[in-house]
Amino acid sequence: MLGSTGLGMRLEPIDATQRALGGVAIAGRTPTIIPGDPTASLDLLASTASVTLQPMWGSYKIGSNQGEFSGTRFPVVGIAFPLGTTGVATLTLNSFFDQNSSASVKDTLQLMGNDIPITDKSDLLGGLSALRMGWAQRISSSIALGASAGVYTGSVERSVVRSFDLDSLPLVTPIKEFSDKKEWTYSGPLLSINLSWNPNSSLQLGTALQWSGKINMSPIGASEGEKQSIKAPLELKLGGNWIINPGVSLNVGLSSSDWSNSGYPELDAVVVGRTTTYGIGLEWEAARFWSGPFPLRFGYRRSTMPFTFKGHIAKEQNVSVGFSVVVAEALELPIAAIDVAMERGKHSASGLEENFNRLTVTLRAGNR
Amino acid sequence: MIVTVLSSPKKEGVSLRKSYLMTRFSLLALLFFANCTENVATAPDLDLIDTKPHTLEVLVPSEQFVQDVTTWGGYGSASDYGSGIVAKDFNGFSAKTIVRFGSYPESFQLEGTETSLKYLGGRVVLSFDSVQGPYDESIGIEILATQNNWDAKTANWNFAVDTAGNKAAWNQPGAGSSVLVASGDLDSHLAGDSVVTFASISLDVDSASVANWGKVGDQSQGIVVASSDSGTRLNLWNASLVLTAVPLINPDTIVEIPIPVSDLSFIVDPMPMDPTGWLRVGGLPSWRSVMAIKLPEQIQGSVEVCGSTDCSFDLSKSQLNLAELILTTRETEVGFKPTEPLGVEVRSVLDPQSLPKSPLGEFIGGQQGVTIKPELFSGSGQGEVKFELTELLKKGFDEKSSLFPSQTIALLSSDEGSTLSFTSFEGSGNSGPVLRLLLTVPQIGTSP
Repeated sequence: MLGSTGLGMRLEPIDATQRALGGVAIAGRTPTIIPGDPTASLDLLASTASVTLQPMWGSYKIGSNQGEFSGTRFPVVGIAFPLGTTGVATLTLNSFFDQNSSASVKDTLQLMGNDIPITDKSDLLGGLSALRMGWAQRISSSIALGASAGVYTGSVERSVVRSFDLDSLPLVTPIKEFSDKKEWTYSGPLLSINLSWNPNSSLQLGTALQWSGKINMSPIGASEGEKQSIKAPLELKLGGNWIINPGVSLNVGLSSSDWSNSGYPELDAVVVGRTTTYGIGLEWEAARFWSGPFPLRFGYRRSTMPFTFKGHIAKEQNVSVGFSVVVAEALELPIAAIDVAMERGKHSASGLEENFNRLTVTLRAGNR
Repeated sequence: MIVTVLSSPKKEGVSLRKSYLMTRFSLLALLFFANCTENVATAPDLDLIDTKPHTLEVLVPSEQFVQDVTTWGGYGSASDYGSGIVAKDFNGFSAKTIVRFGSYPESFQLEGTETSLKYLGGRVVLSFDSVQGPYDESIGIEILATQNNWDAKTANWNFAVDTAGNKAAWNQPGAGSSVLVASGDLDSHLAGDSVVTFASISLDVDSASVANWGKVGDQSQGIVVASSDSGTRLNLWNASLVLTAVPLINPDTIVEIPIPVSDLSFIVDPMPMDPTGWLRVGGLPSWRSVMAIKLPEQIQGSVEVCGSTDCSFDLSKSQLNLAELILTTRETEVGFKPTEPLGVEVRSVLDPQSLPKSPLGEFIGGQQGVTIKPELFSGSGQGEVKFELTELLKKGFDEKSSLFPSQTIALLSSDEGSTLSFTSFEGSGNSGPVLRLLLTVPQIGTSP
């Protein structure tokens, strides 16, 4: 339901390991591919491809109306190419906002001397994504720098259908339904810089600063209207990972951005202002399984949605659990793994309650 | 010493294990893609989505969309009806049927031997149904000989031949003749308008008449079937000539030879006047009403559509949900009033420049047309008839042009050629044609 407001529902570009640990897309102990933070891939010693899929399902209640929803998204797809032993290049495609929602209303119109029942249905389908290239390099044994550049991409289609329900009025001439569709594409630049610092062997700190140029929305096809632009905010992320005991580590993360003053009145009317996401997680290498270590992960995450829902601030909070399975290795190095995270949470705003289950699965496969 | 280096079995095993695991991994990966169905949460109102379509009903008077109306007659012929009509002063309507018989056989087979015939005389057998008039009384029927060359396709009350290059009047209007061939009384015990049972009459004719009708190539031969009693109307369902003859090889034998009808038509009085200012559809010969229509670019809008009560609204900015041509019926002339429901259909005119001979295009609003009750064409039964034109006019909206094309349509009878009755509609003024439009104006926001 939150996909209907502003630019849609926020879909953060994090994989299953980050989901399980309540992460905010800052590099952790597990080498992986994170859009906007190529330092996360520095420890990959083989070219690696990664795809994350995320089925989600749940129930919603808005006023007296309730129902169920389900869908599958692919928030992250990426490839990492090690550059020697101290560098890595990445190519990623990730989602930013998801705009899939629907509304349906039944009403009656007085036409041709009859009360004619109608059904109005409106659908919104699309989303905003980013395609980026990144590079990271170890400067020293404890410091690594990274940067990525990319473009926003994606599109959204808004359609409306009004149908005239004449089953109860057989003498009325059939009335053709009304349908209209408009489509826009997204474009715009974005850059990010990253710093990863290990002050000691048990502590890892990371930060990322993401700058976006204007997100342009251009009508396409027969859609009328002028090109519009949105000024996207600067986003700051901080994260840390602390090895408490051998085999046990604590993960924390924080991200913040301010969507105010976007320059687009329709969006400014629904933005919350500064929004914050924070999360905390625990990772425990419980055993060895299949071809490698079998870590268990537990996490908690809470975030404020950047856009209001019917004038009210919307929040998301969830608890998560996850694990990784190394399914293939060569020369004792994992070359294929499945990371799994299961979240249970809810979205809430005044009048809206969504309870969801979200399964995130990341498939990593390397080649050497 | 020869040392043979064998390949490492452990390395082969690792390679095989890797391949096996990668295959399972790939298959496992595919399983996750197997279920990607989407079930979107549906909100109960449109407030979240910037869209509020507005549907409105617009009635466009004829002066705003009718460019031209013409009624064309002469489609088909009374001879296409397949049967005749006989009436005398039936509510001011009279009709006679004219019949021409086929050629006589030149020889006859009698007990395997071919022989010539000598015609002694014969009888005309007439079968009627749909008898209207006084019940339980006999109706006088008379047959007279035609005295002019006549053409079944074009003959009418005044003219025996009425073609473009040849016009020849009857000696007397109504195929009047001084030669009475036969007469008799038809038993009209039928209860009114029955098509199941019929009454027949057999009228003897003399040898002279028989001889006249047998002249090959004589276009003047034939009979006129008429009623001699006022206030009657009958449908002549069948006519035949039964000749009485003797074969020359055996004059003691009398044979009867049926001769079928070669031409049959009917003439009526009064003939319907050319419609002026109104529409006529149907009849025999049939009438078609042709209208050239064009949607106006601007119509009067409303607050919801264009922001005020006195604003003009560009029609091309909306979508057409329904278009109906509404015609008001008017009283049809006596003698031609429908007595049964009549169907009227609408078709596009493909080449208006070549009317009345333009080919017609597809059916508009359904192949079955609109069936209209007969009482709408009586004196007190004025009513509205609606013809759907949505598919025809929608093309102009779909082309997204502010200029709607002119369209020419023809209204014609679904029963063309099978009924004398026709429908009549008002052509102008307050009761003239009206176009009803249901339009929806999209009011989707201009941004995502």
